[in-house]
Amino acid sequence: MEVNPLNIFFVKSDSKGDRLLFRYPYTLENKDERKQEKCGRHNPYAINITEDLLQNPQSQTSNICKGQLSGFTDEMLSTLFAVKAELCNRKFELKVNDVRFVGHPTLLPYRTNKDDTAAMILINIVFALQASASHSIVKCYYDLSKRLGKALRHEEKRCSYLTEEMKIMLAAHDELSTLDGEVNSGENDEENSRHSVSSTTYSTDNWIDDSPKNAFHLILQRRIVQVRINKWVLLSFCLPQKAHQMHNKGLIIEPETIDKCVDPNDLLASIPLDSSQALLRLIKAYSPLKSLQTLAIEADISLTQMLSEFSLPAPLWYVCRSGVSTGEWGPRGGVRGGAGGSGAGRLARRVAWLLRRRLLLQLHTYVQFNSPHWPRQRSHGHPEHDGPEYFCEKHDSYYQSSNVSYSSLNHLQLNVPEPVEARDNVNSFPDSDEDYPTQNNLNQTDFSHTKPIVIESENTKFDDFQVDSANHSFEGVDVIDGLIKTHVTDFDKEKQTNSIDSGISPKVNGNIENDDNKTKLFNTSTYNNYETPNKQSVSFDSGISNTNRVLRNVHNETNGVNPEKTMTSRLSDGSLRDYSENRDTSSDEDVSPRQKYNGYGCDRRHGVSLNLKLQRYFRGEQHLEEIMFMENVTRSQLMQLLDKFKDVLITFETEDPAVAMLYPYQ
Amino acid sequence: MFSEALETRYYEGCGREGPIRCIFLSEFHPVAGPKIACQFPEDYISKEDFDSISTYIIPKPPMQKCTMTINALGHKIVGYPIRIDNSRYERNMYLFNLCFICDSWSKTVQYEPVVKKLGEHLTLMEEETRFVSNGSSKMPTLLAHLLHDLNTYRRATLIEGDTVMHLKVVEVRQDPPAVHDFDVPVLVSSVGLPQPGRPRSNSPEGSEMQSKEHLDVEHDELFVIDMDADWDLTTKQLLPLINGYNHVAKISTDTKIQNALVKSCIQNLVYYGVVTLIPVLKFSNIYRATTKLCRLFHDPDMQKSCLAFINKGDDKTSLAEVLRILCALQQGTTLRTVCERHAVDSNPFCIRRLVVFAQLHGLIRCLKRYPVIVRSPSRPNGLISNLDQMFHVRRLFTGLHCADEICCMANIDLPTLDQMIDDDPNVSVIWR
Repeated sequence: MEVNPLNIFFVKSDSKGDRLLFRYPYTLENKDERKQEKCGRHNPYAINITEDLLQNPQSQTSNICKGQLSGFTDEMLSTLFAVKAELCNRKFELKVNDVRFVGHPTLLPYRTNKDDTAAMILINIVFALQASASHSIVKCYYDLSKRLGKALRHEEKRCSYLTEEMKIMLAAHDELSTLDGEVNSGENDEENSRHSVSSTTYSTDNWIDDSPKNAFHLILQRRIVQVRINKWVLLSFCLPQKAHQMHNKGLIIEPETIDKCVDPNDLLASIPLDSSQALLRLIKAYSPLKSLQTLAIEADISLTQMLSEFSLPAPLWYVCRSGVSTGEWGPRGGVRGGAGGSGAGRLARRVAWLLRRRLLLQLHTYVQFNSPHWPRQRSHGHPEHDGPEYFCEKHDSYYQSSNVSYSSLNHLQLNVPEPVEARDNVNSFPDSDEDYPTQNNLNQTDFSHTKPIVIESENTKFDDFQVDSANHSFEGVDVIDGLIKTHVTDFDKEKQTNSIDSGISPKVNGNIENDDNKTKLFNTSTYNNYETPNKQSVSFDSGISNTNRVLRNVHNETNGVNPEKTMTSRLSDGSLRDYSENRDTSSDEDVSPRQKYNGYGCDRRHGVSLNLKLQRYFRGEQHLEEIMFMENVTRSQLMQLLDKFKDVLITFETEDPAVAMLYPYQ
Repeated sequence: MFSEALETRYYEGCGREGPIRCIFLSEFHPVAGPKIACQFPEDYISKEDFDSISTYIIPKPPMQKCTMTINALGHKIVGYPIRIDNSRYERNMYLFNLCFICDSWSKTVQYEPVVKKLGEHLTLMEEETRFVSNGSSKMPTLLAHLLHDLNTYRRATLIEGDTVMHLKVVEVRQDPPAVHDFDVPVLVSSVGLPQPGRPRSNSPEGSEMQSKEHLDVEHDELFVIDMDADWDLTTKQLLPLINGYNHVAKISTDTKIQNALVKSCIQNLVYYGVVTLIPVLKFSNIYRATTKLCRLFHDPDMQKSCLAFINKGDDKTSLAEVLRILCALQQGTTLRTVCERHAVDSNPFCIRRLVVFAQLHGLIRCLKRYPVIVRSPSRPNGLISNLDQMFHVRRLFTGLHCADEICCMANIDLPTLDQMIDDDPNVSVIWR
């Protein structure tokens, strides 16, 4: 599997030269086997060609043999990984045939024995991966290498740990190589000494060997690394690609395990000691049958805190995720007759278990406004409308980003209660690549990997808004609303030419210009940047107020201040264009255009206003439970509404896009 | 894999191809060590930069003849180091490497075969005429020519003395999936734009200005299949039968072409994005919406192409009705039921084409049935001979084969299989 590393290496380079100190897993290239293989294919009647002079010897095209790295000697590797000083403290990436080596060469002061003058030593912890592994995986391993390097640097500084360990390792190497050199001679020499190198590293019970080795094993087994270097520095790391696909392998499931959901003790055991008390409370209070709200109340933390401050480690998140929609159970996705049980609670537990293991897929009902008029209007009425590009791009981005990228995982955690926020965050995820080290930020301490970037950005957004909302508008849009960029073409194009891999900076300017551009295009509805930040602030606020279950006034805000226009504008923009041109939709609350359209009288007033209030959800992006949660309506109210307006509202069932990507068929 | 549609920035791992920025030839000088013998454009890579990465350009002798890519200092350098052992050289060997430099964000796999081929040709030329080591004056022109042609046309033909080099940058695509008997190939082009399976704008507007020449022209081209073009013989025979309804086995029997041949041919077409595979359209199938269905709501382009594709002739189809039908396709509702409920026959469009369209674009997906034995059945004593066929079919009820597959494998028709599943209380069906 391309997620797994092939090998891990530890190379040092100092004034005494470079040396490969550690290599794991160590495999003997079994020459006997190869010989046998050759014999097997050998035709006894063929003429034995000793040497083919005419043909160029076939060059080696693969360095992976049976899932193991092959064809590199220790010397070759140590020269490759002992990089020049110019390449230190930045990403090292080398691809040889089908193997990709990634590491973070770390330069650190090193105390030699005799005097106390510090010399510099270079250490490089390199992972060998399959070249086909995706960039996100490579990045993760790079990050791990960097962390290991940093931890070692710290330990070296603190108690010259590295010096001691290296002394032991070098001594072991030397001892064994001389020993083997005496015993063996001739061509086997090299092989044997290499063998001994590995056996030394096994036998020496030191930590520097153990920690990378442990890390390697942990990656293979659990995709989560938690090691203490020198029993002091805690290093934790998670390979999301692996962690989230863990259950996809063909596990054989014992029926009795179905009734056991997550064992809280397991989870508690996996949490570091210094974690927050509230998190512990949360785990203790957890049950798959509780909704997030109940959980928050029981654990005595606010919902926003629960979602933002705790990064909600992956297992917990799934748990929450499946916990959110209690009451909507039903083995719809499959396994007919499999999940029959006694009692609803038991069934629910089983279904929760199945969902968690991704053996069952939960489908949600989404609502979409479907006017009989809109298609033609779109296609014929406004051909110059720049819709096609715009909308299409936008949606592509939503879906692709949420389906594919692993890093959006973190972001999507927030999808449960605040879909608006979450979506924005999805858009902002490519920014996480910004902190990818280029030449500029060599010394940044980037341990941000397990920390969801979302939360930071959310907080800052919120702060920004509090402090200075006017200023916020441009920055916010830029980071959050990637979609606007694609829409505005010319200016950005020019910008692009200058800034190939630069970050946001040029676009900040770009957006100011964009506004003019866009207001031209969208004259009728003010679908533009100005409102986006407002929208965010409101939705963020509403997220908070949700916890307190006061959301009644959102409606008023929505229609009065019109911050939600961006949400609804598309609806009113496209589908109700003719109406909205004639009347001011935003001003009249209850005399909905659709009311006219449907020909319903005033007795429908309530339904209509509810419809108006909810219309921003009728774009097939939030499912019923989300709507219920966001707007504090009951299921029956919603169902009534759907029934009332069944001419124009259609429902469809599909999986939640955030969850969908975790399923193997995606 | 990554979202390419929106992302206009270039960052490492964006997975996009970039142009070749520079081509240089470096060699191991007997006195000066590794150095750049010739580069085009001049001074693209500085002496200092080269020195810090020269280990990877001219590696130690054991590492030869392998494609090495080093990504450092903002450059991504693809090389193929070569050593020629000959006593006529000062050190009894000559080390050289012809490298391509790209931007560090770009994908370079596609250049690897080119670099390798070039290296091998140069080896030949070096052995014959010492073309490389002599520091030929033709080298700069050669490199300039190469750079220009590869970036512009993605192919180049170099003629130098007796050696003719034909080089082409071949796009590396993902391996196509296996083609089964029960798969149905659909011509992608016939379904109109936007093309399924490909990001709509692989090369975003922003990048085109910057480097129009290097980005795939193919992606933006209107994809029309010319039946008279130079298709190979098998493909020529197959193409008329690829209509979105015929499955592979049927195509194979109809054209009297060997099944394996048809499969590999279709697989080839899949690889190049000419066709995609969908499950057989049956009215007993259950379809359900995917998350991509939303796209049809908001993307007028797609709406247009959908209506154009499903229309029987007149322009009266209302999108609302189409959407209503698509949304009605749900878990537990067969296509037949939906058709009956919505009186599809009276509609001015073709429901079959709608299903094909929606599947191609991933708006809906077909749920397949996987029969599985949930309880081990009581063995019939001594009557096995009678139930022989049944027995063989039942062996396939592992939950790993879908109903279509079982039909193909056991050579029975679907009603028989349905009957078998219904009759047997030990068999459950997983829909997925």
